[in-house]
Amino acid sequence: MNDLTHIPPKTLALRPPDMVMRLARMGASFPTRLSFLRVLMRRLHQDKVSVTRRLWEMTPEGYGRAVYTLTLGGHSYALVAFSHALDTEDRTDRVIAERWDTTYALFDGLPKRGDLDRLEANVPLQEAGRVSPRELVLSRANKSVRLFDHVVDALANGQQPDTEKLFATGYLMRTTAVYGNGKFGLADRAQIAGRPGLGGAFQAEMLTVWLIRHFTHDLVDHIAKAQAPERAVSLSNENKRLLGIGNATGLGMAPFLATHPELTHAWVLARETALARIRALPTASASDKAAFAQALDQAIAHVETWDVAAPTQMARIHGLRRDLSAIRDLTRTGCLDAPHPWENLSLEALAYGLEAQECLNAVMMEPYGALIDDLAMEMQTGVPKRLSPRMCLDELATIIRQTYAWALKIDFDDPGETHQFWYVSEDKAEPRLGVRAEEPGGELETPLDIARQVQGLDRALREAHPTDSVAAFLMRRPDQRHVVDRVQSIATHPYGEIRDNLIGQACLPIDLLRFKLAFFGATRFDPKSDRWTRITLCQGAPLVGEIAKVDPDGWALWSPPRAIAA
Amino acid sequence: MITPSLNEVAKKMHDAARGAGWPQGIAAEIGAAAAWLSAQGANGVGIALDALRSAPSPVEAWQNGDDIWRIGPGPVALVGPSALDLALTGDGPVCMTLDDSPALFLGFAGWASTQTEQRITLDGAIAAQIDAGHLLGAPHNDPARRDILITLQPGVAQHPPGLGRQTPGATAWTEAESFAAKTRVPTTETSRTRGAGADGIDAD
Repeated sequence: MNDLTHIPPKTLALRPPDMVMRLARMGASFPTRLSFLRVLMRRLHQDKVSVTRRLWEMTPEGYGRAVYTLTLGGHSYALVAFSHALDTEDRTDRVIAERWDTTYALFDGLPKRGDLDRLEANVPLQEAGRVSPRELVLSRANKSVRLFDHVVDALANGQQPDTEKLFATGYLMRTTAVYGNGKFGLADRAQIAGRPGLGGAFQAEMLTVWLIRHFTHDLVDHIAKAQAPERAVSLSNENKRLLGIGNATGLGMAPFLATHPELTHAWVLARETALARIRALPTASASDKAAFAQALDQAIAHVETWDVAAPTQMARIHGLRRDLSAIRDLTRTGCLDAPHPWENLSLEALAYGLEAQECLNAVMMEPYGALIDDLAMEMQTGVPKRLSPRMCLDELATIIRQTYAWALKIDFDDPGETHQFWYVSEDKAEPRLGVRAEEPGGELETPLDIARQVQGLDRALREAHPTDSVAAFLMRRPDQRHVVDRVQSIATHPYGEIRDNLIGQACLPIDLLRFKLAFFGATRFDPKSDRWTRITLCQGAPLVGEIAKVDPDGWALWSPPRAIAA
Repeated sequence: MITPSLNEVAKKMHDAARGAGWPQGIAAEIGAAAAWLSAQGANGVGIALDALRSAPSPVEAWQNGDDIWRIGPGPVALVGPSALDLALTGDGPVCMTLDDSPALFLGFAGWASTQTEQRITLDGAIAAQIDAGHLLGAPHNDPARRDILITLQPGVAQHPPGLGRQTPGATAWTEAESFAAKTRVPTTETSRTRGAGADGIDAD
């Protein structure tokens, strides 16, 4: 169950939605051990998953197709990968691209030759092709050419590549889309929602990314060997761990949070419940404190190696470095030996920046897998509940006053509060954000103006009879159906609402992106503007060949071992 | 000709309904109803398209001194969700009258039954039983009638979700897309220069 009425009493000290669901804090999110990639790694480890390369049909230049298979939760899956020659001028991360270095499908089962031929005719086309319910995920990735070529050259010359370069970039390829849930004919999510292994949030997508990472490692080895069969060496495991998968993410991801309030609530409720359980602990054992200290050291090392070009984010990183160092000093004063150490540390951390507060929350969760990892099972939702037609309008008005007080305060006569508008573009039907006074299309606005809609409902309710039912009201005002449904839903799913004006001038989509990507498990956020960012997934994560043996959680906020030692 | 996923049907018909001018909440109901019908093997896209073409009109409900609510006549896109709202208040059966095709109402009822885990029984222009979103037996249509009596009981069974797919006619899918396209905005150069990957070809 994902609503607040089912939380055991011991975890009631949750941070309030008015604190958690603000854009500024959301934009300071960090991955935690409940992030979807971390959840997947634990499941793969638990199942002792073994990945087999079933097919490798590649030219010496590395163009062709490959198939990797595995069994997870009793089901077989296959990553089908295609590698293509791509002209330099066609290599772009823009969503409107039509060609890519590599394209992928995650297949449900073991593909036969006919399946591969069908996929080869469609997967390289991505949005312009059609896939089937046998495919769970569709994706593509472009090379980071300079690093890719450097790695191939080094391996072909019998040497390992420059580790500084590997870490600085962090990936050989960068995905520009990872589609699931029925897009372009893919299987609907309901097809896998109940399956062990892939039933959790975005697990099929994360599995695809992890397998793509492995494919990129194999590909550089293959090309180097083809170039110099006698001299070439394979990329070492140490260097493979340095290489995750990059991703370029833009506005396409942002409206998801506003249009899936119950799911967003489930994610945040799980994280906040985890923190509440930890803060409720009366003491910390010596081993817990040691694990925390190690995780904090790792986080500090991670942040030390996190450099970006964007001045605003870099200033925040500098602040984060100072704050984390101060927090480490604080924890060395013996404060963790006092009663309720984590609650007290959380309160002390409120004196520091949002980045430090959220990073500390992620670090505090690391020692307590046994206490909190079960919450990962609560991070998906089923069918959304229908609105309650029997509710009286005065009760609905009360919910608005209690839950949407923040929205009622916004002055929408101020042009700054309606400065932006969300819309869907003709290009690939992608979400976009326009400036109302400068760009056309405001009349086709996507209804993400939640606060303004709630104000409209509030006005409509004042004109209605308070003892009328919602059913009677909606019969007269079908235009209010959407917002009535939302208000009722948020009453029991309060973390599902972002408590800021999404069309105001102050709304920065990058905050939405970071929040969602952190739940995926992304690191090294590298904002390129306030509307899109690059990130890294799987850097430091266990490799395909070692997932069954190594600690699946040992790579939290990872950085090279050398950085931690420093 | 494509065979869309259920998610594609729901999204397309939601957008088509918005493009045709129906309110957002009604559009969401239409999209979900079309997907539910498709999952049962019906032509959810074509049925929803028929409903989009109707003109909105005010909806009223009343009782005639008995415990049956009466609602309509009106278009299924407006009367359907309101009739189910009335039924779900638990104040007794609801008899609705439509002035267009009732076919989409089976989808509305199917989706409502899925969401509420109720057993919904329909009698009249459409005769069917749906238990927690699961269609029990084949529905029957009576083209001579425009009324449907709705009664509710608690659902009794857990059913796996219907995941069938249906291939709409090429014309229907194209028409749905033409409605949906009315919600989209031509991309400006400004938005292009601000989008992901807008720093051009990147080799890191």
